[in-house]
Amino acid sequence: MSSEKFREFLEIQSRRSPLRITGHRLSWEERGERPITSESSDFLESVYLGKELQSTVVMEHSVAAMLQQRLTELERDNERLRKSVSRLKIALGFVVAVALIALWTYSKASFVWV
Amino acid sequence: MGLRMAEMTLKNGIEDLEREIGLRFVGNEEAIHMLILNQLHPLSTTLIRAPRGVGKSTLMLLMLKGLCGEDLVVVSGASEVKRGEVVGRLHIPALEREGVERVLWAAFVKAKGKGLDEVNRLNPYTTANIHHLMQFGEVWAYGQRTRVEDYTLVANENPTDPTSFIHSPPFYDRFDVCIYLSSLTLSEKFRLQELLDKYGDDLVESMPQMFSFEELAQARREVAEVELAPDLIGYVNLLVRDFQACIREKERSEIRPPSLCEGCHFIRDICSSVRESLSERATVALINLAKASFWLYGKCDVDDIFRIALWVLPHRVTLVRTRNLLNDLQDLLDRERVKMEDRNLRREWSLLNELMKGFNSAAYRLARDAAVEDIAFAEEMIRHENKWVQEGILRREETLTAQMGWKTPAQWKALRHEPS
Repeated sequence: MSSEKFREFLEIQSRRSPLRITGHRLSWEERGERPITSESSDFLESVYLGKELQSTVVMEHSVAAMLQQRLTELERDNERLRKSVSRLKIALGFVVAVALIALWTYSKASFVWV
Repeated sequence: MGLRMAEMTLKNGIEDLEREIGLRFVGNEEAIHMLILNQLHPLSTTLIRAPRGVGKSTLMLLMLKGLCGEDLVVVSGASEVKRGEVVGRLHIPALEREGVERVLWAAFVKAKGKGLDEVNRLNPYTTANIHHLMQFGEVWAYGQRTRVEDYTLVANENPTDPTSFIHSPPFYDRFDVCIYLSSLTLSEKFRLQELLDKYGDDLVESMPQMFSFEELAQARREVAEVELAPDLIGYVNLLVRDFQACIREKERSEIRPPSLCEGCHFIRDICSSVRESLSERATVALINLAKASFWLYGKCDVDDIFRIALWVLPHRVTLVRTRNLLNDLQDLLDRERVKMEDRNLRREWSLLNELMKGFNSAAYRLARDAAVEDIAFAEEMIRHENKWVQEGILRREETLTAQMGWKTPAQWKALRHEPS
């Protein structure tokens, strides 16, 4: 048994932070989040300090060049890895083919022996 | 219209009282503000704490004079106090001539304005009589009793005074608020000297009575009729509960924090910083002050409650470690404020509201996660879990109590009544 005032308190709090219940699912909307403004923000701060990005990002030439170089390196790494993967795929295909031939030869030999 | 005018006059009178005191007392504006606010409910009691020479007796007298005029009596712990001066004495002629024990009640009992100077020096017998007066609104002498009518009591003490009696915590708990005065800053010292030049020895004498005690009683009645919003009452109750709650039942435990808290899940919570819990009088005081604030200024929100709490808690709560009581308390209140926001973010009260309507597994799962981080919420959850166990919705081993090893008195009762 709970007091009427306590129920009222819960009702008011529920109205302020409403829940959506659909079957066994429960959800709510986060309100009061900081809206993304049209102000500019520093890209590096968002990378290293985890600050939220705004709609416009401002960066120096050196930062842009660094990012460009980093992207080129990543692309190069990406290409190298793709080639390695291709080579490994061919090697794997060859190994599978050899294994199948060996299995087939062994089974044929066993049949002749019987 | 007439009533509205009368109410406005009363409110103006209260504001004038604050201004008149401010004209005669330098600095400590927040403390004076709280002192005034605390006068707006019946049987008001205020404790002023300060080192020597800061003006605690002056402030006490200014307040009593402004409210009660000449109808005030001050009992001083610094002088010899006899029972007859505080409670009453026998009427000797009646005893001699008629053989009747008639009591002459002391002026302190009858006065509307009661002052206690240097409470820390009051002897335990006098303190016990005053404690009884504050607790039951009556006094006893020679087997006779008299009721004490509405009053305002302002006391002061210097807690660092070495020649002190140690009074019991329940006695201090009877004071609605405890205000601390600070020494004056450089510029305030200049203002004080100007004041002393202006008033000389008549500083208190010059204080006018701002309204009659009947008008104050009328204001007190109006404040009592103020209805606070349920969410504000909820925040008051939550604040007090967070300073009381302990999952290891510190109220009944022989061991006190910090030893009691070793290995506790809530070791980083506010409860682990509080050695002695708050009494329910803290809730009453907070509600009275919130009503007074609402009546006088037309508003009282959760931030006001936290500001008021700083003056309601210091003489009621004992902290585990105290370096500077007010600063330590303010830190705890700041943490409490963050905790209340965290509760809103977790939608604790919305979840509890849903669960009170009926069991919902999704709401229950989220509520359990929240309860693991919040004792006050966990207590409510445990109460509901007991009901769901009895209804067969939950198994005992699925509950918070079973999984976290928490028990509350309600839980013991439920276990006792549950068929094995």
